[in-house]
Amino acid sequence: MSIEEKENKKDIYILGIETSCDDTCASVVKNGSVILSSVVSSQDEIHRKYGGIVPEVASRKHIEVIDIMIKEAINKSGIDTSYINAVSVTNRPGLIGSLLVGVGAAKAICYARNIPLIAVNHLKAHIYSNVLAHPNIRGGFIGLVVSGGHSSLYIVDDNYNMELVGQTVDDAVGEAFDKIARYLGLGYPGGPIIDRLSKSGNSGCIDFPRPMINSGDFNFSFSGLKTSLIYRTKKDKKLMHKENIPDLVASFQEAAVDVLVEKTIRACRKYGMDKILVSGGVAANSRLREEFGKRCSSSNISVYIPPLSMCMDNAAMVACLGYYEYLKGNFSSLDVDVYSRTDF
Amino acid sequence: MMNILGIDSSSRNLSVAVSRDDKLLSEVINHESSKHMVNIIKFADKALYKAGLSIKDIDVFGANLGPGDFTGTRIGASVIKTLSWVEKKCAYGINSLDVHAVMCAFKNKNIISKSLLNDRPVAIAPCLDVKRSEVYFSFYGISEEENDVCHKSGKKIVAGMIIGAKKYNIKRIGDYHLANKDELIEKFSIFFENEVLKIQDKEIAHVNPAAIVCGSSCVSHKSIMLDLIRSSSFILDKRPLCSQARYVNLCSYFSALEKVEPKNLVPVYVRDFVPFGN
Repeated sequence: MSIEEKENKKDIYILGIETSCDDTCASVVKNGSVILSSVVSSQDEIHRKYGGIVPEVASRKHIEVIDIMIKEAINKSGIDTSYINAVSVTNRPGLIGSLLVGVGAAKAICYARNIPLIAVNHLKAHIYSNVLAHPNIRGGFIGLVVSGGHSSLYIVDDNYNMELVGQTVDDAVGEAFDKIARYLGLGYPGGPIIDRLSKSGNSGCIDFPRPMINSGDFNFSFSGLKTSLIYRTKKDKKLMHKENIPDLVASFQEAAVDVLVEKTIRACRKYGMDKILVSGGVAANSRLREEFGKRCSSSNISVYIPPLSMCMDNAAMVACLGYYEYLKGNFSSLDVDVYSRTDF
Repeated sequence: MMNILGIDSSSRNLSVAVSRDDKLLSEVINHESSKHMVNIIKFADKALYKAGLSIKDIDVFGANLGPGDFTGTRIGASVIKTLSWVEKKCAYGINSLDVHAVMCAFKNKNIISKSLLNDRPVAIAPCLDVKRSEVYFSFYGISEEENDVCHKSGKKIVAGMIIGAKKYNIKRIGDYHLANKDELIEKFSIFFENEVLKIQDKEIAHVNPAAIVCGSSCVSHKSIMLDLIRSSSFILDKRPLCSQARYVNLCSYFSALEKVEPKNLVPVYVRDFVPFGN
């Protein structure tokens, strides 16, 4: 780091820590937009044999690597810990045993360095993955967060105040993908596998229901869609044959994507917005990205989806959100707790 | 001179202590809460304030890594390993059995000093109830520092204590064990036939060795424990005590004195976790 840079007091460096689910993530972001480092220790390999995330296993793994990941993020960023202005950490919602590893580490750094702690909402951080990718986005949009744990629709005003307008009443969409992949013996995580197989399948082959598409609200349901697939395959065993799997999962994916895109656009119209920000692990789904692009352009709505690397859980988005909270002086006390569920 | 900050979050009682060498300067304990995540930094700050020190003055960090409450030990491990990294100091993770043994030695100092002054060996056996009808335990001996043959015999000094004007070492003899009832009885009988008599090297064959059995098993496995002590002159320390940070500090101090290589701080689990029971 040059002397000029050291003396430039305007630069704000935020260390982000994210351990809400199964990935141990740390990142250093400068001024809310320049990612100096973003490291992830993925546990996919470990959870693959169980076909899903086992919370106790996730927590055991986090505590093994948390300090290693933080050190790596600092080292790769090229700055010394003494330049960190604040630590931003996910403290809600998520798996308690996972969250507390990251929050414990964040508190320790803040206490030892006497810098502010910023405890943030994981879902809000996902929405900020778009702000990180497109720093000029103004407030006033509909935010859709879709992942293995969440399927939620938010209305975000000009000042980035968020209000939940709808969410899944049962399974998260990514969870449904994982469960279907496990049922069909395709592996874990289910989302990318189904995405890949669907490319060679006919999505119109089976007409799956579009759950709650006309429910009148902005909630989702994916459990029934999953059950529908299971019933179809029980009735017609041929569907489970290897050559029919692409058609089956493409049709399933199409139904899920259709509901997500349709209801998000309807919410956008109802609340008079002209922007949609999509984020979360399922935002990496190629069909979802394609369909949002297509239908939004025909409706004169701008849609923003972060690059694939920013869709999955990462700490850069946590640091980015932390930067904006830092500017507002929204700091947390060092006795902040962790929460499995929460509202904004 | 060494300033030590240790945390014990392995039970429902959270405690943080600050020591200078083997002397306790301050300790903050919460007896009823399970909100360790909320209290941990506040307690550390309070303990440092009471001791008249700041975090920068700490040379050695310590944490009780269990076995114990999963949530608690993770919080302790996460905070201590990160603090030690930021402060560029070493951190020791202490096994819960070591902490219990040292605590038992200090709480029963009167009994121990009487036996030792009469040249009778004393052993301590902390036994923790780790569910599924199993006990996690280990054996500890107490002997004079100058006679110590620990390094030769593979025994590990966990802490020290002063009785009269003499310095004694509390040392672990053998490994940590996980055992069911039958294995527990067998291990105890082998230990007391061989080890206790041998280490003291005294002609005491006519006297039953004295031992103090402590830990949560004394309460929850009471009948097994009573069986165990029936044939010998054992004492059962039945006070269901949670371990405390001041003893974590003593263990950390001795680990530092012995120049033990610090390891990655990860909670101690007595069994591998097997999801869905298969």
